[in-house]
Amino acid sequence: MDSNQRRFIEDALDLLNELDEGLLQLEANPHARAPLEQVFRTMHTIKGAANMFGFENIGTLAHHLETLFDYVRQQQMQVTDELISITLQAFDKVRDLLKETDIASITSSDALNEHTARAIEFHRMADATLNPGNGASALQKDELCTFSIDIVPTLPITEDGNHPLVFIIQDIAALGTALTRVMKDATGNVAKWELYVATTVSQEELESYFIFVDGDCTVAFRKLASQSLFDQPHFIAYIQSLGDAPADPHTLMSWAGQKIAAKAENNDSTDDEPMSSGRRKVLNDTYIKVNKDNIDNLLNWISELIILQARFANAAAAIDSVELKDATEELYRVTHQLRDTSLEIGLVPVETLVTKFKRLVRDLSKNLDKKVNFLSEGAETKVDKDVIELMADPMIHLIRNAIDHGIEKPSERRASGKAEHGTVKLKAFTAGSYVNITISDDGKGISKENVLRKAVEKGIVSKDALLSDDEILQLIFHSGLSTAATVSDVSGRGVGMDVVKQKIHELRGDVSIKSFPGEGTSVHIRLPMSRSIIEGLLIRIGSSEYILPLTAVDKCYEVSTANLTADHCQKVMLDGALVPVFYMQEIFNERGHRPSILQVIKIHHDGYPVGITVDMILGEYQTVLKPLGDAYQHQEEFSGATILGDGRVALVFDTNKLVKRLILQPTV
Amino acid sequence: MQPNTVTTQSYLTFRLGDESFAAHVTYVLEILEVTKITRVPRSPEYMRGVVNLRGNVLPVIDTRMKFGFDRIEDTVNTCIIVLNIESEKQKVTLGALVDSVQEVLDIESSRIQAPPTLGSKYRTEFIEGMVKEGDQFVMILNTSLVFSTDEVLMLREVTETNAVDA
Repeated sequence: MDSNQRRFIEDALDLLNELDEGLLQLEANPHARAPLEQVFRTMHTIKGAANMFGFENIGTLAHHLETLFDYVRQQQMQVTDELISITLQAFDKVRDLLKETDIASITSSDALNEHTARAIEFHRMADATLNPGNGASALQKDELCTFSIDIVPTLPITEDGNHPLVFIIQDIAALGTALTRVMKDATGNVAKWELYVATTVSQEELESYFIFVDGDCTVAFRKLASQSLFDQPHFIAYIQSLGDAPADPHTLMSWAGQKIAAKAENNDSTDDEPMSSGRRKVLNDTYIKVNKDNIDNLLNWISELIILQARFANAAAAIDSVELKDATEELYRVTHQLRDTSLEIGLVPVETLVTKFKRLVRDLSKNLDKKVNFLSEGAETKVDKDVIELMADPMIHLIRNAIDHGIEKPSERRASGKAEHGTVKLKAFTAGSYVNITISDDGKGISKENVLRKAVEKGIVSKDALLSDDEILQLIFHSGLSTAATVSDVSGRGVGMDVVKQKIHELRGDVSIKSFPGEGTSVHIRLPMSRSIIEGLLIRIGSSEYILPLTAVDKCYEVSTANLTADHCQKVMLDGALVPVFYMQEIFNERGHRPSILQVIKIHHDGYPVGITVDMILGEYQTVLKPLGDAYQHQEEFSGATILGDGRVALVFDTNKLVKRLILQPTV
Repeated sequence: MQPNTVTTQSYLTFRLGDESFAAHVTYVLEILEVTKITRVPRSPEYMRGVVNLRGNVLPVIDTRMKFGFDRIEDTVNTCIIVLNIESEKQKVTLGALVDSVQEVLDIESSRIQAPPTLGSKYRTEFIEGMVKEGDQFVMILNTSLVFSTDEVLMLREVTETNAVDA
């Protein structure tokens, strides 16, 4: 495989993702022009590049599929489920093929025969039905329009409430490309929704959605443009720039008008060259691909610079010079700015996963005969690329669970008074240096009785154990239980909930689950934004400093050393409860002087509190995690080490492994 | 025309107690002064801890302990030799704490003698050869093997153990 072919494979995999996204949009909105053009263009690019670099099999397949979509473009054919399905399946096969390692099997001419044949067959059938009318049957195409809909409820309704209006808004949003803004009043109820949707559905039809909630709200429709404004970044930027303020209708209308004029001009100038999309050009100009090693390297040097800067500041403090003091402060500012900027380089938006999930939801709901809407919120939230890659499988598992076990069949949903369409929602947001991801569904919830019964059957808990609802839900993550609850061909394969939890812990994250019968389940994941940046407490045990990740820390207490026995583990009363406390100075064989008062830090392990003693808490510390290397591979309780401001090394605890190890072999 | 070409190799020599050892310079990256070494709790005793090597974490092996010598306090002469060891397909960078670093010696290959198989206190697989330098023998170490093995070499007692094994 030469480097051009490798480049092609990388690019093609990106293009395939774009193609998926476009196809799914097209399926949701079969008359929309923008996704159709995008799909056609992407296929064309794949075809051209594939033929150029010797992947003729892929080129041939893309050619036949492209022909089909060309028919659609010329309005001789309609977008059907079948068309979308054969296209998706064909390109899935291409994607699998491209992941092969040896070039011979990728370019093998037989590999795509089946899919090519299907495309040709579909083509033939389409021709057969087309010819009698001889193309005269150009299909009536509904016009794609952008509407703004203002909905002011007259009842107190909360954003995530159960009022039908909430679902109607979601349903409308699912009709096309949409953006929803919610304005709340002082009590947290919704004051007004502003919904922007680009769809082929007519205004009358949109209005009919509100018939049943006529008395509960006032609705104002405005047609903004006879096209989708969502291809225009300015439009989205304008809406987003509004913050909480309501959009000014006049600005919106006049503004939209302007943009259309601009767009029309734009169209003229690009008409000669229909294959080069404005959007791709922008992408190519603003993004470059960088090897991950280079970024890691850069970060290493910058963390070294920060350490140097700290040393420099220490040394400068001893010299009485205003000039030097100013320079030191400036240096501090610049180095930290440099660090923040370079950290951001390695981050990618959660969005990269969303297309994958949309596909999953589509395929699964078709397989299982369920109606599911997938909503994502905060997809622009940025996370470390490694984290995203490692989280893909666990999140797929969670979504799969939500659809398979959570969302009911449409008939069941109707019977229990819910909308036929279930909703699976991915919500991501940043808090401090952590990223929060919630995956929720509005299905039937987890049956706690079933979980408890299974757990007792499997001997995970004893029959007469008294467990709180939360504790029962936590059992879901137990390895003996995860796959067993109800096995179907959908869940049960791939990773179990215990693996999901383990993966999240490996990333120094946290996961919790909430479920209400009949209302649904939500899984909440908290992850550090970056794998290499760690936020922790700097502590001292005996002669050495350590970092304890802040995620694990609950609370700190002071305990008189005289009250502790020399045992490695003992029960200590903290906040009125007996907590097992590990005497770290003893465990680490720190024989030196011990202060008269020790700090006990309460950390949580699997939801249970555990204390560890430390000599001193030196403060919060945000720093770069470095691997300890193979020499210390047996010291699992440390996830790595970090360099302190004065150049010394501090070890970083992996609290989960630490507690596990302390429990298993407290005396070692 | 010379029938024999003379090949010389460069070795860094260092001392542990009153004995001299040599490591091939290709393994040696640099020599550090001893700074504060952070101990890693619950690790083998010969693993002295970790130090900061320009922003990276460098594990430091106490070569005295590793070779079965008694532990002594660090002196001004104590140094860390940073070694690049390739073991089992991967590269490892580690520091070897030694009593003092001597010099870089160019040694003609013809001068290197095979390690004595009998009456030696060193296990032969760890010694590539020895060379007489002045009035003392310098042990040329099989550096990659010595520092990639997990065990304490126990150079001191080797003869006895070998005798028992045999």
